[in-house]
Amino acid sequence: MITIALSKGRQLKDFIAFLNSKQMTHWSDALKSVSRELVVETESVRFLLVKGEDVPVYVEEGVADLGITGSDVLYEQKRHINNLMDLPFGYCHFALAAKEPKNTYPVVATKYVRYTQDYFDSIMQPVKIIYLKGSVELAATIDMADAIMDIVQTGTTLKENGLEEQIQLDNINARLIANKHAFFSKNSEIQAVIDAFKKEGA
Amino acid sequence: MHFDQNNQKILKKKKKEWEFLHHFNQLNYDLLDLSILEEFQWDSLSPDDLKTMTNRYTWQSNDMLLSLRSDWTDAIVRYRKKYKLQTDKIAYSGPVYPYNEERMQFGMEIFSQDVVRQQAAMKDLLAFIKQNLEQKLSVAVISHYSLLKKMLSKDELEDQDIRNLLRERNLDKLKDKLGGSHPVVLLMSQPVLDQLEYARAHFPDLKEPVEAIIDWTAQLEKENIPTVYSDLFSLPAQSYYKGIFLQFYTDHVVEPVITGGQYSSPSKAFGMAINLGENNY
Repeated sequence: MITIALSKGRQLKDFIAFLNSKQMTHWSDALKSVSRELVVETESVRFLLVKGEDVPVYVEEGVADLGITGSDVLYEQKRHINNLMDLPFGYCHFALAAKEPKNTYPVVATKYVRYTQDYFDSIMQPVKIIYLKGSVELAATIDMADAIMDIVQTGTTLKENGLEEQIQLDNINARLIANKHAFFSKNSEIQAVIDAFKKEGA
Repeated sequence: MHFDQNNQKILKKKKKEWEFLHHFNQLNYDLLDLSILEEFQWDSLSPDDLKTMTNRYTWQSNDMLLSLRSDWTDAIVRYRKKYKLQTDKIAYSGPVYPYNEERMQFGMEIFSQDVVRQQAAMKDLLAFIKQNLEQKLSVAVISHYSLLKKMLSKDELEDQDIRNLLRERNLDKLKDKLGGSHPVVLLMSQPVLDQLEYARAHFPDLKEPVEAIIDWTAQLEKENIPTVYSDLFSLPAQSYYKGIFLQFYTDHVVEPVITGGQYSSPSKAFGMAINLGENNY
């Protein structure tokens, strides 16, 4: 049996729709009925329902053999995992947002410290990064920061807080990841999952 | 503190260490002990030394950079660059302190390029872990560090992005970066179990490392390890590892319990170490 760590919320809904599109209804039926459970088991797989940012931790530690999480989370954490394949959901992108365009953004608030630092290093501009865990938009709205670096899907939240996307950056989507040890020791089961996920026109 | 339990635990640990050294000494290995405190000179740090600095405790004293030993093979390589060792095989034991961790290492090194002697040394270590530490090895992973050198150009091999993608086996992004017909992409696209055969059939340049992997795999299969895999995309932690690299796992443990392989510094050698944490000895 393999164990897969998934994040709850929107990504879980997207994953269920993806499973249905691949006719993997034995998995999607089990996940559809989830309310507050943290563990869901079928005959062949055990799902752990955790916070998106914790998915790579469960996979790296070997508690889960596979995991599904966003490429933004993987970029920030740089865990020792195998980053196996793109999944066709969870689409959004990194963006630098501010009230209005400026030549430089010396102070940036974000949850994505590593990405922000790497971006400003790549454009050779110094930056002061303020780390926030949530409601990042507020930092630019009340002028605590010149801009925010965040992930953007539709841009509605930015607009509602009086901000505009100034620079669109890297695309983000869901990724299938594997524990480095399980990748070898459970390779046939993992390969079967990859093949089922890749199956065309299923 | 329950001293009765604690006394037994401490005595058991010391006994295992003594047994290891005694066992290998009986097999004609010379014993080596080195200071846990390592000294580096700023102006003679090698690229390998620099790479380890982010993974170990260091502090400065006058013009000297001091550090706790983080890996025995690394310490022995540095010792052998400086001093002549009048022996061809050694065994050692002692703690290592990679960053945020303390581990005990029991290990051996054989300073010979003779593969038969290297494999015999590997078997000496495997016999000890099975018989004396009562650990059941469930998975062995074999890599060969010359494979990627043969498949990637020098620039590609030095590209940090490519190295990260290889480490993560990120095939989609490697395809974007190297192109769909690149040997690495073609090989990684095959199921893991078929990769070695694919490499042998399609890349004549890889013949030597592929045959070495097959030879070492045959030796490991004789050891009754249930699962033996080859990992063709492994990158060495230190540049002196140039050939076969082995990792052994026990059930339900993420970190390998034994690691080691062929290296060249300054002459060809082979070494393996048992990594022991608080819970596994």
